[in-house]
Amino acid sequence: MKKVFFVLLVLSVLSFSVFATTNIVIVGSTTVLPIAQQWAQAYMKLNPNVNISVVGNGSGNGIKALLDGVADIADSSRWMSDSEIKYAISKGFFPFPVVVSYDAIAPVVNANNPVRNLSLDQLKQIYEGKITNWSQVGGPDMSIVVVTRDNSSGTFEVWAEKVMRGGLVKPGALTVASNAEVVRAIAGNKKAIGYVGLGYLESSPNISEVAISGMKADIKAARSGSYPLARALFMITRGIPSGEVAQFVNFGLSPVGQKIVSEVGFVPIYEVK
Amino acid sequence: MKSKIDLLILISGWISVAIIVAITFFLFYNWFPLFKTTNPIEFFFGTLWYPTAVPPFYGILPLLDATLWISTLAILITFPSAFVLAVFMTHVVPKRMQYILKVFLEIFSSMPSVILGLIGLSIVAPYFQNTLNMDTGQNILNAALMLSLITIPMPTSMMEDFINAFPPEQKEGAEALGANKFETLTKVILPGLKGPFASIAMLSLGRIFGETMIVLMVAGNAAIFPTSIFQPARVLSATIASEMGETPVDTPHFYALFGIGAVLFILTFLINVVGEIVRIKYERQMMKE
Repeated sequence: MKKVFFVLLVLSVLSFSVFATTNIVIVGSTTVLPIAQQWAQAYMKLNPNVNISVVGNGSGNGIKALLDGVADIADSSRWMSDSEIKYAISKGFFPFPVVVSYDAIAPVVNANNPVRNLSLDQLKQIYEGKITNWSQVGGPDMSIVVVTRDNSSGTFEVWAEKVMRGGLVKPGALTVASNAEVVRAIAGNKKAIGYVGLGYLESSPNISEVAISGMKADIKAARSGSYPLARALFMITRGIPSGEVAQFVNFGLSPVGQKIVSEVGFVPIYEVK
Repeated sequence: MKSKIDLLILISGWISVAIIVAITFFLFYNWFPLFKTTNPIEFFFGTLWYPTAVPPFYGILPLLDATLWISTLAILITFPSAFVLAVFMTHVVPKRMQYILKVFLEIFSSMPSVILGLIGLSIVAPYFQNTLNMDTGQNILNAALMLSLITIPMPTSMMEDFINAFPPEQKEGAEALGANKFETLTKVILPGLKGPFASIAMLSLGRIFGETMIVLMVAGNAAIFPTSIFQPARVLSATIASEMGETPVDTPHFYALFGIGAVLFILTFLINVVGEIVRIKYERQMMKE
């Protein structure tokens, strides 16, 4: 009898909590993942009756989940493609993108390498394998070791779009799986060149940023669009957000949310203290 | 009661068979749609792996080539080292020491491979770069070394078991004829264990083939046709691991990754079949003699 009572109690508590909570499902880009995770944690602390689940499996999968009705919010590190927008409209809703932060990436070399300035064109040729020695770009006479990111990462997408512009990264480039691994590879190899997100520039004393034609990556230039390797990060909803989803996005865009953005290494959409 | 247990075992046995068949089916089922957009010849013999370029290239030949390089080098390091270790344990050290070594080996073989990957990345790679002045320490040699370290305990332990379990009457017979320990080992024990050793080699190769984490971390993942062991290389398994997470479902890239999985499956399957054939052949030979 006691057991039956206990089971009933548990069931009633469970059912109560199921009725009381609102679920928000966020799926998409692994670049936006840390922002979405931190926002979700902070938001759930403020609103205990909301349950937010965050999954990072790439922008394409996130948008697909949104369009198929599996997700409430799609994280995306890129603008939607024509076919995705058409598919959404054929399903009877208009996708609503919100810029949640900016992301800037910067080329880096080992701190012992005196090269501190390269043009976009030189970067492209280095990555294509046309420039193979540092002396060709004003450095010491040693071969260039090119470090790149796995080709399905968001950071690689920016690099491919803004630097390679249709060119192919040479097959001999070392390919690593995260920003932190790029930093490790560059910090330990004086011949290496790589690229990392803005938040990782300070993570090791053994790496140095390379300016692009004299321009260094900084927050203002990333926000205004004048820095060449910057992009906007989106959260996309099904139609104009309403209810709990709108509350969540608003929280993210508030000074508290934007402070979180800068804490996880991205550029907030406006100045926060 | 007994029949119930029998039934339970029967059911669980069939379920596991069904699951394996289902996994195999799933691999191929997700691979074949690739050929709607990509020519099979381009997939198997294409020399470029650029799955996200426009237009994409899905050639797995460089990945296959790299897998061969790294596995060959790793087995060339693993097998002799394991053999020497096994002989050392059975013929050189005293019985009690042998037991302690064996325990150590078994602990070592259960070490997570990510730890060896980290050692390769943070100790071996900088050493290669700074002291030996290689372009990069993330290369075939480093990967093969780390792979060997994680693989060696398994074949060593198996070889040691086989040498210990060698029929004592043959060993004692040889010794009675005046052979010393070394002669007994090389003239009697080794020829008798050719079969088991061949299948141990195949088992080790199977393990090396499928090991992902170490190669992903240490080999440098450049999809080229290497010409020396000091160059980076990208193998089949590491490609799946690094790209699957963010690949949109039901795209040619997704299918191509499943294709790599299927190729890996076929290769490991073949290695195991060859290993088994070799073992059976030698066993038959032994029976005849």
